[in-house]
Amino acid sequence: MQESTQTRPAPAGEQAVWRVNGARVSAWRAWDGEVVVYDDLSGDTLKLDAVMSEIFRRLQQGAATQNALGEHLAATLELPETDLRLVRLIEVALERLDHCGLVAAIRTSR
Amino acid sequence: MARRRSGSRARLRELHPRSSHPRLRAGRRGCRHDGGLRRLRRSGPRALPVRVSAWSQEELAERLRGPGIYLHTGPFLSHIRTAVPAVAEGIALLYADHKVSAEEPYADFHIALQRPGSLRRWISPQVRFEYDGLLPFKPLPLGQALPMLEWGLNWCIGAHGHQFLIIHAAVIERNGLAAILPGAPGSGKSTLTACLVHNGWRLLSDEMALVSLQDGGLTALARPISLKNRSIDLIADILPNAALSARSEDTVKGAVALLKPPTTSVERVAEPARPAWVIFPTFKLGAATELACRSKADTLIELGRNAFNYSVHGARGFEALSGLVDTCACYRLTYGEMTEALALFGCLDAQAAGPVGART
Repeated sequence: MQESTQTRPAPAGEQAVWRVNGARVSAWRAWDGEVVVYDDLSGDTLKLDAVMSEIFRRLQQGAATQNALGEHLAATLELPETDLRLVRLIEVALERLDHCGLVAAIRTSR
Repeated sequence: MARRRSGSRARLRELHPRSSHPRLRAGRRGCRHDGGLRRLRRSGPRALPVRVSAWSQEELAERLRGPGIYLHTGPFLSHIRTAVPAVAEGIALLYADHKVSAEEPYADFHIALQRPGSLRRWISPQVRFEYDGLLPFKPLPLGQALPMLEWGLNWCIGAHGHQFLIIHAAVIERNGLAAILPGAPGSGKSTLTACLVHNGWRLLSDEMALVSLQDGGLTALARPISLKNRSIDLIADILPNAALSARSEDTVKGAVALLKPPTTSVERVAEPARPAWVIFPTFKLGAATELACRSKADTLIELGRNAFNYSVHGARGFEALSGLVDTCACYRLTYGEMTEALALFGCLDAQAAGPVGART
């Protein structure tokens, strides 16, 4: 029943809006930038890497597009938003978070 | 409820036609299931528990051979029966300071260590561990009967003590603050614990940290410390006056001997402790003593791996574990010299008297 939209391409000019999957994540902790999440569905406890942790924490504050996440991480990591490495890191992190069912794309926005 | 109990008993009678299962004998023996209350009414107030050392070794052995003894180890009460002399001697030595009763209205665990009656007993005698009349393990050589009692008790607690979050770790305490020492077999955890509890620290447990799901406090067991292989001689040298059981050779863990817990630790077994440190010790011959900070996220994951029943508790277990990690300073300790490690723990304790101690 996992909601997965990462593989569903958004129409041109539109971006997926990501949010934390509240149905699976009711408990999490962060220490020194490292997030540990309890997955209610599987019973697994997952430690997220630095980029995933930052994305997860940002999404806890509210849903965001990949561009918004890019802005947030660029500010946090002091990198230019256009840095291709950063764009790729965010893509991979979202893909992995989505694969674990911790985040989901809810709708698209222009 | 009544119908379910009755059905369950009927199934047990099919499995145990000679009524050897404790639940089928509940009315006679007074175990927790329903006979206990009837027995209490008949026999009036029961005698208060006494120290094991209050009984002579002959009396203890006779009780173990007959109706059994009720041994109090922290929050758990075990009903133990055995005709194996080495186990009786081991209990007399290692549990001398623990409370024991001749009868109780119930017990958490009904345990028996018995020799199988097969022909094999003449060639290669064995001992088997019975829990509640069932056999959870394969028999072991008779010479391993005492370690089998300890391993069996550990199993009973790990498999049934779900009122706690149970982590595989030693726990020691000083001035109300506890250090949790998780460690893989061979990491030197028990050796270090044995030395610390004979140098000013109180033993809560050598094997299991019992974490309260309500307030995160740690409950003591104060059971014997299991020493393996080279650590047996090492501890015998360092602590010449400590009571050590006979060695059991060729167990799955190598040679094993059990160290009696200090009397003060047993006397204070009812006192809980607040967790203050999580320290992962590793002994490396010749290594310099080093205490390095460990990330709390890593610590939580590792403690979860070391827990017996983390998955049983679900999100509640996560909350208990993350609360524990929140409270504690987390370290990785490498040591090659026991005196240096002891000195380091002394410094930890001194630090706790300052700002760390203030948070409790």
